[in-house]
Amino acid sequence: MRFSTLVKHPADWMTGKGKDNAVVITSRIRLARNMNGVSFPGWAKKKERVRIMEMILPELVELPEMSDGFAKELSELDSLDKQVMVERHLISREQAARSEGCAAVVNRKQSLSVMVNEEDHLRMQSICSGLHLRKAYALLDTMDQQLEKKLPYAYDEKLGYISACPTNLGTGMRASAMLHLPALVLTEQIGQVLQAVSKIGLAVRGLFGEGTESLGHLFQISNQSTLGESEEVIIERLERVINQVATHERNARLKMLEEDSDALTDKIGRAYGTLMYANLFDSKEAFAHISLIRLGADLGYFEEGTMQRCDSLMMEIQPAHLQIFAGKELEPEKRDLIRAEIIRDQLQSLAPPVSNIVDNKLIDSDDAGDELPIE
Amino acid sequence: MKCQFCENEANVFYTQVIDGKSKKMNLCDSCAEEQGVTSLEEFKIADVLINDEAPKSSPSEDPTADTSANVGECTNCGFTLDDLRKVGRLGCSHCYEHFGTEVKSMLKSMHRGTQHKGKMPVGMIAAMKEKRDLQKLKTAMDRAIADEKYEEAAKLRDELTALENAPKASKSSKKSSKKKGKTV
Ligand SMILES: [Zn+2]
Ligand SMILES: [Zn+2]
Repeated sequence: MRFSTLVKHPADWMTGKGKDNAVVITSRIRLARNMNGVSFPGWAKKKERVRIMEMILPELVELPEMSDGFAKELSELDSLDKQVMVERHLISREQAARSEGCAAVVNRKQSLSVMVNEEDHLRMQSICSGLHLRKAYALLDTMDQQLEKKLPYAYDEKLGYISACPTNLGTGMRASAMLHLPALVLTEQIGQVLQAVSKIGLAVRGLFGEGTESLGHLFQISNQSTLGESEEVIIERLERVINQVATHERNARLKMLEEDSDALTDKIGRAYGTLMYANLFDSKEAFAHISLIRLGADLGYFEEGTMQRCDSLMMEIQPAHLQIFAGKELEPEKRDLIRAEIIRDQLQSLAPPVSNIVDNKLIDSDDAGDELPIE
Repeated sequence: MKCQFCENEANVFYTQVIDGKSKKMNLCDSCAEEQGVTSLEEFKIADVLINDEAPKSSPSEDPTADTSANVGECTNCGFTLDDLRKVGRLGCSHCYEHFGTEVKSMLKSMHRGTQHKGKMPVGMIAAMKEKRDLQKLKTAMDRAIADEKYEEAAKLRDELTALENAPKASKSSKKSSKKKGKTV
């Protein structure tokens, strides 16, 4: 697959169907693996790093999962291409900064990707739409089992899979989900929920503006510990907690709709109006408004398919995607202009929001088996 | 408040909460945009916060770095404890044996346990067990010789030879690795 093909086609997880991903946008699993006895990429000399890559890369390309995929040494990609891959979560920002002796392999659907010589010799990732951590893990596990037959993994009975950083020892697994939590933010419950989640040993990450205003209302929840528990136990806990957070978000959405629908309709309407008529958007502002449209889409304010439109829009207005679209590198000010243009273009046919009380019931937290220690 | 990447005023705050403690990274609008507002995990906040003053030296580009002060180097890759303190990572898989005590002391605060309980590369495990069995037999044989129990030593030697000549476990167990470990 050429790079242009990769850019032209959205990743599988970017086109999530239905309401499955209304709250949990994506699930992702990452496994770290290293080769026994050779220096980790950060410590290896260039020659050694190249040798390791040349040992690993052919095995990756031969995997059935990677047939007709994309495989490139990072030195072969220009910086804009690399940034596009970062925005699609196919490589990390750190990996994008590397070149010789480092590589990226991506399958055709862009659901599986492998970084060679990032912090570890191998970083494999599986990403899918909605809350499906088990499915994402199963895909990686199959790949891992093929690779372990071919590559001399560094493994220790006590420490498990050896990683460059001790924080990744054991399973070498980082499982995470990206959540869209606008209602918890708007009703100011987000702080408590995040605190509660973090207290059961999970990590929460989010981006905030001044005060409590959250940007795009996106949050990531992931496991912090990788050693001392099996993959199954880690994934199960994470799924349970994420489900609880999602239930809180759902309930907050429905409660807003029931008790504060005028204010909610106003917010969504203003976001719609701004997106339709503004001429300059930095990503921060654009994200905040698109987030509200996405919320409105879930609550029946917009026609079907609007949520998916929001999701692809969030990808398209990021700096690298936007510049690829424009066909040239652009200064930030110029990007703001193009960004507004893309948004207007994409939303042109979108009818104004209509307040529709959807037939939904609050989910009793008892039924959801709530065990988040929210104070 | 200043942006952590440049001189501009910060008005985006990347927040990470772990164990009830939150850490913040301050960014200006344009740096936030450069860093990508949706790629939350791409921020290595710890790196930014820890290595704020002391920028990471890149050892691979500087092979002549001063080694005179390093007492305990990894015998495989030359990594030192100083390096570990500087970058928070190790040099190679062998470093974990070489700096075993130091690493062990770090693990408790990082993880839920100190013993791996997850999946294993099944083919490799068989090979490891074989190695351990061999070592056990060798030790027993040496002790028997030292104790002048030659008959027992001869028996152990035969067992040892038999084990050494046995078909490699790693080959036969590779097949089973496909079924095992798929317990999710
Ligand atoms: Zn800045
Ligand atoms: Zn070492």
